[in-house]
Amino acid sequence: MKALNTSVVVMRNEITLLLRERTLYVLLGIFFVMAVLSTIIGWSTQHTIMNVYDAAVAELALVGQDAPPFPVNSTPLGIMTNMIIYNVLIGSLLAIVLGYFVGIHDRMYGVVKILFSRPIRSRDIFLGKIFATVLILSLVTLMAFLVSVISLGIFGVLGTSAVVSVLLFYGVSLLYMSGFAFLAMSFAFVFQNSTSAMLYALFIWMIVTFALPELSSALFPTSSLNPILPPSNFLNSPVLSFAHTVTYPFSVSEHYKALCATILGVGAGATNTGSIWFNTSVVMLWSALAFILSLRFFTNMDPSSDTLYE
Amino acid sequence: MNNIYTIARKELIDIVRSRIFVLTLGLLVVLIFISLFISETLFRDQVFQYEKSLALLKSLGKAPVGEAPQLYPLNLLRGVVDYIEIFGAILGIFLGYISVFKEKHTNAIKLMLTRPITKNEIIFGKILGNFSFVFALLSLVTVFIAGSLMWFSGVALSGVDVVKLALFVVLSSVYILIFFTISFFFSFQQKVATNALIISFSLWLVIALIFPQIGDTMDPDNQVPGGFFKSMALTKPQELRVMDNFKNFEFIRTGVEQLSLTKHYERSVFGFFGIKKQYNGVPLADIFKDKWGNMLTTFCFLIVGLLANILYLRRTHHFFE
Repeated sequence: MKALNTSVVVMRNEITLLLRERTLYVLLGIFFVMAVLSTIIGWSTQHTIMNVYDAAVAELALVGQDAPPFPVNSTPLGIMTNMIIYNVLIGSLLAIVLGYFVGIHDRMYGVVKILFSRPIRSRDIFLGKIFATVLILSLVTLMAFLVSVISLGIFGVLGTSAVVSVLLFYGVSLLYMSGFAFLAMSFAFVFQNSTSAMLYALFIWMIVTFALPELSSALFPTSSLNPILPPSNFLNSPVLSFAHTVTYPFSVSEHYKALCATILGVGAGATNTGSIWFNTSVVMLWSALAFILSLRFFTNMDPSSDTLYE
Repeated sequence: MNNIYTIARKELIDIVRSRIFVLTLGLLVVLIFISLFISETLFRDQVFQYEKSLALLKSLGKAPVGEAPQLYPLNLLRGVVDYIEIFGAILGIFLGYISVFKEKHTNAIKLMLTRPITKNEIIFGKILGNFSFVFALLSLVTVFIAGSLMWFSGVALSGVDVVKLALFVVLSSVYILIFFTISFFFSFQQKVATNALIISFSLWLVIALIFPQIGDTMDPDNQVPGGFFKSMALTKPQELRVMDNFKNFEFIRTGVEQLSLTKHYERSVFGFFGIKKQYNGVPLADIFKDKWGNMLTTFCFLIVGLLANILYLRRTHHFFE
C-alpha cells in the first residue's frame, strides 16, 4: 500500500510538472487540430472524388467512351485514414516529448540524489513515472477518440460498430505511442545531456517511421505518409524480397498502419504480408521492449552523478 | 571582419568535434545509401520485368507495346531528396539550437563580450560558421551520392548532371539553413533551451510533413494506387477539363501545399533531377524558367529567417542570458 502511495505521489508530481510545460501544449494543440481536420479532409476528399468521377464519366460520354466502374475503394470509416498517419507523425512525436520530460525532470531540477536518499524504493519512483506517462497519453487518445466520434457523427457515419472500431484504433495507437514515450524516457534517464537524449529518440523515430518502411517495402519516405500507397511489385525482385523478409518484422510503423487499416476496414495495403495477429504482436512487443529498456536504464541510473548542469 | 571569421571558424571546429555531428553524418550517409540501393534495385527489376515480357511477346510472335524503361541516373535520387527534406531539416534545427545552447550553457559569451567584439559580429560569425558547415557537409554528401550513383547504375554522369547536383547542394543548403534560422531564433528567444527545440520541431512538423501530406492526400489523382485519371483512361486534356470543375477545391489544396517551404524545395529539386517525368531530357534553362518561382520562394524563406534573427537580436537586451 505504501509502495502504491509512493508511486501515486511521484505520478502526481510528474503530471503537475508536465502541465507546467507550455511547449507540450503546442504539440497537443497540433495533434488535436489534426484530429479534427483529419475527418474533414477525409470527408471532403471522398465527397470530391465522387464528383470528379461523375465529371469524368460525363467527359468520356462526350467522346462516346464507356466509363470504368468507380475505382476508389470507399468505406464509411475511410474518412479516418489520415488519423493513422497523424498518429505515426504527430502522436509519436508528442509521446517522445512527453516521455522525455518525465525522464528528464528530476535530473534537470537536481532532485535525483534527494529522491534516492529517502526510504523509497526506486521501483516505486519508476512506476510513478510510467503511470504519469500512460495516464497523460491515455487522456490524449481519449480526447482524440471523442473528437473523432463527434466528427463521424456530424458526417453521418456513426454506428455501434464504428464506435467500437474507432475505440480499438485509438487503443492500438496508445500502445504504439507508449513505445516512443518509454524509449524517450529511457534516453532521458541515462544520456549525459538533454540534447542527446532528445536527438537519439528522434533518430529512432526517424528510422522507425521512414527508413525501415523504405528498406522493407521499398517505400520512399514521403510516400509512406500517404494513406493510399503507390502500386509496387517490389516483391518480384529477389533482393528486395529478401530485404522485406529480413526487415519487415521490425518495421513497427508498418505493422501499426496495417493493423489500424484492418481495424478501420480501409484495407491494409499491398505491403502488408503479415496477419492481423502478427501486426498486433509486433506493436505489443515494441511497447513492451521500450518499457523494459526504460526500466533497465532507470535501474542503472547513478544517483551520485545524475544531475544535469545545463 | 576578422572577428566574424574567427567566430565562424570556432563554430565550425565545435561542430566537427561534436559527437552529434559524427552521428548525424553517419546516419545521413547510411540513409542515403539505403535509398540509392532501393531505387537502383527497383529500376533493375523494372528492366528485368520488361525484358521478360518482351521475350514472351516475341515468342508469341507479337510486337512489343510499351517503351523500354530508360535510366536517368538523377531520377534515382527521389529518396535522397526526401531524406534531406526530413533529416536535413532536423539537422538544421539542431545546429541552430546547439549554436546558442553551448554559449548559454558554458557562459562563454560573457567572456567574449568583455572583449572588443560586437553583438553583430557574434551573430554573423555564428551564421557564417554554420552556413559553411552545411555547405561543406552537403558538398561531401553529394560527392558520395555521385560516386554511389555511378557505382550502382554503372552510368557516368554528364556535365549537366554535375551542374544539377551543384544546384542541389545550393538549394539543399538554403533549405537546411532556413530551419537553422528558426531554431536559432527560438533558442535566443526562449529562456528554457529545450522549449526552443520543441517549438522548432513543432514548426518543422507542420511545414515539412503536415502541409505537404494534406496536399498529397487531398489530390484526387492520389485516391487510387497508380492514379485515378489513369484508371479512368482519361487523356491529359480530358483530365484538365474535368478538374476545371473543381477550381475551388484545387485552390485550397494547392494553397496548403504552397504554404510549405518543403514543397517549394521539393518541386525545384524534383524538376532538376527529372523525378517529375516531364522534365527528363528538358534543357536546364527551361527547367529554370519553370521552377524559378519555387526557388525564389525558398530563398525568400531564408532571407525572412535571417532578418528575423538579426532584428530580434539587435533589439533584445537579455542577450545570451
